[in-house]
Amino acid sequence: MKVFSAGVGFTRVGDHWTKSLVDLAEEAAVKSLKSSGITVPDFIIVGNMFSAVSSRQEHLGALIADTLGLSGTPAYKVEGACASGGVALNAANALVKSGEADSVLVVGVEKMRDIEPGEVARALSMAENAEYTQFLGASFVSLNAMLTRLYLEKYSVSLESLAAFPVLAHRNATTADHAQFRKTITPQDVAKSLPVSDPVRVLDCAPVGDGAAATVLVGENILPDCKSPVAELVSSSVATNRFSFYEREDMVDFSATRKACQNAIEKAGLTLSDIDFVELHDAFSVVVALALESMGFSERGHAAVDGTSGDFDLEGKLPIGTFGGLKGRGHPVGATGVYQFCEAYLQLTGQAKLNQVQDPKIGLTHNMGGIDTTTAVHLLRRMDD
Amino acid sequence: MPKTGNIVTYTVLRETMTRFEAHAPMILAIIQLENQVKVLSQIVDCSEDAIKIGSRVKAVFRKVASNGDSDTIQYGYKFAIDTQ
Repeated sequence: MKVFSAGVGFTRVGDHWTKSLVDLAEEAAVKSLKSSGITVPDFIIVGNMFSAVSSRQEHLGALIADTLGLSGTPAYKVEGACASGGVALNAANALVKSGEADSVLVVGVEKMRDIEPGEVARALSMAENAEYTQFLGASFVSLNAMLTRLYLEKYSVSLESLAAFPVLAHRNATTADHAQFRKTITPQDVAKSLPVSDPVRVLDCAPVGDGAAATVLVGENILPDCKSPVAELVSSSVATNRFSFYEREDMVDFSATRKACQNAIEKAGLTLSDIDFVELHDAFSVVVALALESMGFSERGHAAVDGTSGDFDLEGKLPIGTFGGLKGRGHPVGATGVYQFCEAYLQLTGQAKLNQVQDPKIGLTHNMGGIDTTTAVHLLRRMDD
Repeated sequence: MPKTGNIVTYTVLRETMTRFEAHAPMILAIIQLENQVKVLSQIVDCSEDAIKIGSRVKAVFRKVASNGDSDTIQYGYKFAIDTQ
């Protein structure tokens, strides 16, 4: 069964002090259901990382189903740290592809701003081993900082050159209505920003924010019921890696990213050169470089140079983070994979407005949990005219 | 496990998790032990400037954190510069 995205909905990412986790999920879900014309989906899958910590709330599947007036519908949450949205899409794709469901509502949601920054750091560190990494106080940022130092050292890359990625993300976010930070930054701003965990500065890190995104996946058999333009979900792939990056033989190789990407491309019968844009998991500047290099879009150690020369700009050879990515649009962790998917849908249905990539046919979304510990890759294709 | 090794990479963490605020700024490193196994640890008893990639370190037994309202102390290993 061919699988399609029949519509999307999302909130702006940022501080939603007056809305709860469920309010956000409802807003995104209702928008996507209305847009698609599928008012009663066969199944609901929720992507979320730490609602138990941020909102003392679990059991999200039934809760969101009931909120939508859809109690009775099979519904549950799936979790894969910051790749929760991506793995939710992977599960939904399997249901539709297999014929088990004709339509699945996928909702990614995260509420992060209701808890103190130190507690956010602790919640994010649940992506790492509780008995070891968390026990020692090694936050997620500190691990990425150690990874950054290794990468800079191994490939003789300058810290300054990595600033190309947050600068690009913010530029793309300026014209995205749903982005958390709609303002530009300069490489000097990045260099002068507060050191969080040397050599990582605050502007190397994706921000903390609340948000929800949703899409309705449908089988080709119910395409006539759909109201909006659709994009085909041609393949969905998830891969895992050794759990902590320091356990890996080559610590600066993202093998889950590489495997998920290769597998998705093979399943779709495509090649890397068919990809027109990438919604990339730019949680930290170094992650952009390592993901691009591990997927094969840049030579090892060259991603920052390619970025500085404009290859990944909206008008470049391979646009990335077309609405600002995690850095500019924002990173409500369990929702991020679904935001990326929604943004790819907008690109491929010609609805990206000022952020439109020229004539894209295939888009790739790359969503990572931990430091490439769980990675989900999705390939979407534009419908033939 | 061997008690000594060399620093492979490190960071100075300035924004710690709530439980570790008393330790900030906190030096964290990945250390390759003499049997090639890599471990993660806090580096203690030295300033940030004394650390570089390749620095030789030895394991020491320390308090890691205290836990919850009962203030139960948790112990573990950390590493210090090996001057020998």
